[in-house]
Amino acid sequence: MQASRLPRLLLRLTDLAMGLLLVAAVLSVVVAVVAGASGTDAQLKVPVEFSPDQSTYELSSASWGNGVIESARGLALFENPGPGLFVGSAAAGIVIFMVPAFMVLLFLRRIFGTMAAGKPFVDENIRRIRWIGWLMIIFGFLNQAVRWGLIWYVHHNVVATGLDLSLQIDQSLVQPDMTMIFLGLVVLALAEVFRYGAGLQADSDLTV
Amino acid sequence: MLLERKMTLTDLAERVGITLANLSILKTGKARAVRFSTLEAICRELDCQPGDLLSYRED
Repeated sequence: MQASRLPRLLLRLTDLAMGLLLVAAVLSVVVAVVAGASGTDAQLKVPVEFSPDQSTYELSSASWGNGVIESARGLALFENPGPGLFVGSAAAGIVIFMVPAFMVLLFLRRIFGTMAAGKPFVDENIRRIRWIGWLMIIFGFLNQAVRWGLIWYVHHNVVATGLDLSLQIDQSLVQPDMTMIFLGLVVLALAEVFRYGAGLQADSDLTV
Repeated sequence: MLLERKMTLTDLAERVGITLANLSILKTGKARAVRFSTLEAICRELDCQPGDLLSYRED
């Protein structure tokens, strides 16, 4: 069967995406180092959730009665973060987000390569597609783990006078990325389809 | 059988119309299936019956 032009186009696009990702990784390190070294100009913004002091304000409503603000969300701005924090964040971003993304692109590139060669149903592609599926599922959970880590870091490293920096997290922040996990499961199902296809391909190749 | 007919694998492959690689797969027993057209062509060229080519062997 003659291979279509689409795999070759996808191959080029994957090459481009991998190149851009590498550039982004290098840039994030450079920006982190420069921002850390520049001192006073550097700022760090961290989303926090806190309980305001309920003795300094009053809430009342004719129909609802008295009320309090149990928790509020805000953006904490730090003027002089240490250079280590910037470099650490960049390193964490690269390890947690860019490395898995690069691995997925690398697997996709190899899959497109086999498609361009007209032989997509090979055992290696089953392994690659499974890797992509599991990486997507892990990434779906990891996304939340990173947010938990950030909140934990703020809770243990930031002292707020007059405020109770809270570990109560909005539900939208603690739910795993269900879209990513669902897509990962679909990709794993696709790997099974490829496994079946590879069996048929082997039968076809060994039919004389 | 090839020796008796003074024929090489390459000759047979050409006459039957399959590649040498496929004929090698058939000869070494790695084939998963044989097309009737292939079997017919081999029998025609070697002047034999399918039973002369196929045998059951327990693994």
